Amino acid sequence: MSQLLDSTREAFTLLVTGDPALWTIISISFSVSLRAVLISAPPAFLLAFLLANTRFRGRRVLISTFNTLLALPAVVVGLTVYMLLSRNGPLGDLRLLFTQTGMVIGQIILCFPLLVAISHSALQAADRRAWETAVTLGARPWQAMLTVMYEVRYGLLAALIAAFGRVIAEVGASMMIGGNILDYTRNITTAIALETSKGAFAQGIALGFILLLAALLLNISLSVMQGKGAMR
Amino acid sequence: MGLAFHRIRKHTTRGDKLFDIDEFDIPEGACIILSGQNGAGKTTLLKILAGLEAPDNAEITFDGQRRTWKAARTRLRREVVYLHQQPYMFDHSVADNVAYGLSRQALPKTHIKERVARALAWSGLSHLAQRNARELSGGEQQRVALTRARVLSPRLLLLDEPLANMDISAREQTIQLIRRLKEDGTSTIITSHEPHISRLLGDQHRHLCKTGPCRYTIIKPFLFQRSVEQGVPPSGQTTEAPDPGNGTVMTPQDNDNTVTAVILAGGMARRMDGVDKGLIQLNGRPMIEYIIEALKPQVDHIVINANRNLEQYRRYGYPVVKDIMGDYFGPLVGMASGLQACSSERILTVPCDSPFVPPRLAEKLHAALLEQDAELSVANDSERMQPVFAMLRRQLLPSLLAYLDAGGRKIDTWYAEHKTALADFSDSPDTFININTPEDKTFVEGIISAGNRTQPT
Repeated sequence: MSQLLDSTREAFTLLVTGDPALWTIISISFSVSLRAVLISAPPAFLLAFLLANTRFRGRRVLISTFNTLLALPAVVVGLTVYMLLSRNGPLGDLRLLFTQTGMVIGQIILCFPLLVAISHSALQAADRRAWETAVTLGARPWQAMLTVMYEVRYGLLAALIAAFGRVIAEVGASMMIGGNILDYTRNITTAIALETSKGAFAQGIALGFILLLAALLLNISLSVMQGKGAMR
Repeated sequence: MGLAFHRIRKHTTRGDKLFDIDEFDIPEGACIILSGQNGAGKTTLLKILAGLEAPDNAEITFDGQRRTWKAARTRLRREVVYLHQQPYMFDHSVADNVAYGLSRQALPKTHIKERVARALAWSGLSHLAQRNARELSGGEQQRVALTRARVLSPRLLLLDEPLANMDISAREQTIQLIRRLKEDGTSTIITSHEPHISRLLGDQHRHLCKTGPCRYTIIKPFLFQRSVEQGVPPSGQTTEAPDPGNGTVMTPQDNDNTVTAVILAGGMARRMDGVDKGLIQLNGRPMIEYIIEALKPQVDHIVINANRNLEQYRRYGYPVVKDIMGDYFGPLVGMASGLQACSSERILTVPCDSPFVPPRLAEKLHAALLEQDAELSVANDSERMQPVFAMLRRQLLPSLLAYLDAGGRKIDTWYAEHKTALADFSDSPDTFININTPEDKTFVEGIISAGNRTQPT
C-alpha cells in the first residue's frame, strides 16, 4: 500500500517538474494519434456522406461492415499491419515497421470505422432541407455537401473526439508496429506497459494519470458537443 | 425566353402513378397558383421543376431547346429556386443566409456585400442582418428565405405553401413581398390550399387533380382575374377591364360580364336503361333542342356538357365539353367542366331532362344573385329547391374543384358551403318537370302536343 502512495507522489513530482523523458513520451502519443485522426477524417466524412445520401448497391453491407469494424481489437490490427510491413511482408520495402508512420497507419485503421459510423449517423440525421436549400440556391454538389457537414458540425466533432479517444488509449497496435523505441515510438501506453514490467510504477502512474485526464477532457467536450448538437 | 416542361411522369415509391402531366408551361412573369389535395404531389412536382427530385420522365424546353430532365438538371438548379414550406435557415447570420447563393459563385466579397445589403433593405430585414437566422420567428424566416432567393434573380421561383402556419401580420408581410417579386417580373409558382390566394396573387390557376385512381394531372389552366385591392392599381399584364361607361370602377372579376348556359347532358340515365337523355326524342325532336330553344334568348353563350354521342351534340354548333374528371361523377363535375370551358363571369346550369325551361330563368336567378349578394343562386319552386337549375359565379371554381377533388359529389353539401340565394319560381312549378321514366316521357309528350310547351298548367 505504501508503495502505491510513494509511487503516486513520485509520479506527481515527475509531472510537475516537467521531466523531459516523460513529456517526450506524451508528445509522441498525441502527435501520432492526432495525425491518424486528422488523416482519416476527410475520407471518412466523405464516405459517411455518401452512405447517408446516396443509394447504391452494397450500401447496407458497407454500413454493417463498418459497424462490425468498430469492435476490431487493436492487437489484431497490430498483428496484421506488422505482417504487412515486416521485411518479408508485401509492403516490407517501404521500411515502415518500427516507425511513427507505421503507428499512424495502424491507428488510422483503428479509427476510420469509428469515424465513419458516428459521422454517418450524424449526417443521416441531417435535415434533408439543408441539402435541398443549398442546391436550389445554386451550390455545386460538393459545396452543398460542405454546407450540410457544417450544419451537423457538432456531430462530426463528436466523431473526431471519439476517434481520438480510441487511438490515444490503444496499446496493441502501437506496441507491435512501433516497437516501443525510446524517444521515437514509445508512447504513453507502451511506456506504461514497459515501466510496469520493470517495476518502475511511478512513471507508469504519471502516464496513466495523463491518459485519464485526457479521457476526462475528451468526454466532457463530447457531451458538450452532443448537447449542442441536440439543441439545434 | 420561355420555360416549358413536357411529359412529366412520376410514380410513388410503392409504384402507383402519382402524376402524369403532358404539358406544363410557365409564361414569362406569370404567377401560377397550383392547388390540389394533400398527397396529390404538389411538392414533388415543384421539386422536379427545381431539379431536386428525379422524375421517371420529363423533358424541358429552355429558350427553345428541348432536352431531358437529367441533362437540364444543373441548369434547373441554377435558375430555379425552390422554397420549402418551412424554410431551412443555415446556422449563420441573416446576412450570411442571404449571401449563401452568391458566395458559392466566387463573386468578389464587396460585390456580394453590396447586393445582400440592397436585398435586405428591399425586404425590410436590414435591422436583423446580424442575428442568427434560426432565432427568428417563422414569418421572419419566410421573408429571409424570399430575400435569399430574390438576391439570385432566379428565372423561376417555386413557393411551397408560403402562407401556411402564419399569423395575420406575418402573412400580410409575406403576401406583400410575393407581390413585389411579381412586380420584378419573376415567374412564380405558388402551391396553396387557400381558396382565395389566386385572387390575392395569381394570374393563372392550375389544379393538380385526381382524375382516376392514383393518377393526377393538370387540368386545363384557366385565367383567373386578379382582384384590385383598394389603393393598389392593377399591374401590367392583366387583361384590362372594358370601360363599363358609367364612370364606376369595376373590379376585374366583372371583366367578362356575360352568362353562359351549361346544359348538363353528361349523366348516365340509370333509371332509363342508360339512354342518352338529352337525345331522347319527344314528339320527333331530341329533348336538348327544346332546351336550347328556350335558353337561346336568355343567355350570351351556350355550352353542352356531354360524355357520349359527342358528334350528335356538336351538330347544334355549340361547344361540347366532356367531364374534366372521373367516371360519371354527377352534375357538380358537369358544372365544373362548363365553368372551365367558358370565360363568363356567371354560368347558368340546366339539366338536359327538363324540356320546359322557364322563360325568365336566367333573369330571375341573376336578380336573386345580385339582390342577396350571393355566390350562387338556385331555383326554388313551391315545394323544393331545384339544385341543378342554378347560377354560379366564376369565383366558385376553385372551391368546386377542391370539393370534387376531396371526393365530394353531393350538390347540396357543396351548396351549403356557399352563400346561396333562392330564386322564387313558385308560380311555375311545372316547368321543372323532368323525365326519369318512360311514363314521364309519355306525359310530357302529351303536354307538348297540346301546344302548351312553355307554360304547362
